[in-house]
Amino acid sequence: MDIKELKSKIKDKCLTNDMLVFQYTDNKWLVNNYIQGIASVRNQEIVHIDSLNNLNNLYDDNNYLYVYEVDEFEQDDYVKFNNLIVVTKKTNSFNAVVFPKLETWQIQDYLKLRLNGLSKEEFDCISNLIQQDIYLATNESSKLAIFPDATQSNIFDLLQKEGNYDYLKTFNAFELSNTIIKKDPTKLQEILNNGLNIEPMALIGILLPQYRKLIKVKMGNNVTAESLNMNPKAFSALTYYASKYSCNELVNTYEFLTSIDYRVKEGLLDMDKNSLLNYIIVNLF
Amino acid sequence: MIGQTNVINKINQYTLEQFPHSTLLLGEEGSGKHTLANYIANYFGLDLIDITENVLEEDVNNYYTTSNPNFLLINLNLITEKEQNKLLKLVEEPPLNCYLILLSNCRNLVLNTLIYRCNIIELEEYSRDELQQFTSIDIDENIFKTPGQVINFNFNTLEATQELADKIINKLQSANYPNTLDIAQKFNYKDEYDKLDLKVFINILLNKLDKAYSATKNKLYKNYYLLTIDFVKKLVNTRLNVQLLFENYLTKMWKESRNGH
Repeated sequence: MDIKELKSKIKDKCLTNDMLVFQYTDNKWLVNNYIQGIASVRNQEIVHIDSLNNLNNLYDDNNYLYVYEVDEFEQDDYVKFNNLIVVTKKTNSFNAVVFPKLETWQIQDYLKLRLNGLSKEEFDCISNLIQQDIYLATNESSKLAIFPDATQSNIFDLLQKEGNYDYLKTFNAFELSNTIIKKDPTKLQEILNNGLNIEPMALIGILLPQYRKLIKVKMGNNVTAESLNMNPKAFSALTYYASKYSCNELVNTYEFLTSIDYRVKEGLLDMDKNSLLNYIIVNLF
Repeated sequence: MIGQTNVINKINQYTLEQFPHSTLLLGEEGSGKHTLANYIANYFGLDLIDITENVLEEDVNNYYTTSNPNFLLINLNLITEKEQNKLLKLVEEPPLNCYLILLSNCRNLVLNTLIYRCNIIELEEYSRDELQQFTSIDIDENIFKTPGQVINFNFNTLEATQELADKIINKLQSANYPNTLDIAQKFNYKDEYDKLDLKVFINILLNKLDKAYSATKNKLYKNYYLLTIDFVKKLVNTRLNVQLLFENYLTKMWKESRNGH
């Protein structure tokens, strides 16, 4: 069954109590929404279980919708419980409903539905802050969606003045590391101007695997998206960023990054957190 | 206790009243520091209590003052230098009826102010015959330095370890950098006993580099040797991220292999 068919059956209230397997790609936001929808239509209480063993005596109880989350699920012919939804990232089940990754335009559409009272500028402002994070989109739009469209603009203005959206402007280590990898001086300046609140060793921890991938792409033999376990788009982007580096530069950068832990713990880089962060950025950029 | 003959003989000359109240045992990881501490306590017929976790609590003096003497063990490898500073008073004036035994992998990791306050016992090197007593498998003395290395070693990985050392010596010049870095994935950093033992690998590599340089006088082998010795010295600090340090070492080795040789 695909997701369209599932949606249709839920709407038409003709979804049976048979066991369902939901396979998600990126996050569980959409899966959780569908589970809520199914429970609501059937008037069932959602119960999360840690093991299928817990179900033996309960599966015929139509008052509950049991949800079992597991990283990998092997469909067994013997496993047939009613009122059960298995949520998993990887499965061999032919009947699994696959939930695709939410595209940016879908998140934008979702926001537009909920924030119909905002002007285009206001909508763009909040949309830029949220970017592609559906959980942030849900959280922030919920604060405004409870108000009628006519008052949303005033409420948004009020929340902005109170600094409600300031936390969204704080750049995190992932953004900084992406900026460094991409060698984007404009973005770096923006991040530095906003002030940094990042642990230096956390930044190193994020940069190292990224530089390892760049090294593989630039200096490896017969490297493909599959061999790096990446999707083709991400692999293309990585290939482009790798072209901005010479081989020597990548080797020296990796040597520098792997030396930081030793130099800090041996007292050879005796600096406060911000000075160490600046030292790392200056040496990488 | 196997080995440490001179150390044991020195300890056996003490009576309990003469034995220093603060003793520092120095020896690399797996060299038998805990075993020696237990030997000392058993020799004097006393208990050995590991207080490393509790040692920074303010009331430790009151907690350990008893009518019966005890040996108290503090593993300095598990505490930071700042925390070592807090031990100064305890080491200088141990609680009544208590004898302190401090353990460390390396003198450089102990504050000088603690060293000056302790009687120092450095563990001796082990002979091949002494190390052989820790296993039924015939061992090469140049591979193992400590009983810990022998006991914890998975002998099924010995051949692979030797082959890897040969590859590094003979093929690093033609290896690409990503493949060189991938070498780090083959080693056990935490409870992955089917992977290779890093310290044993380094012992084997040093031995082979020494022989290779003696046979050929190729400067590359000498430089590899010096880089490896430098890496070994850094390994003593157990607080370091060993995998990162090893990748840094591999990077240096790879660069050296292309350095005009």
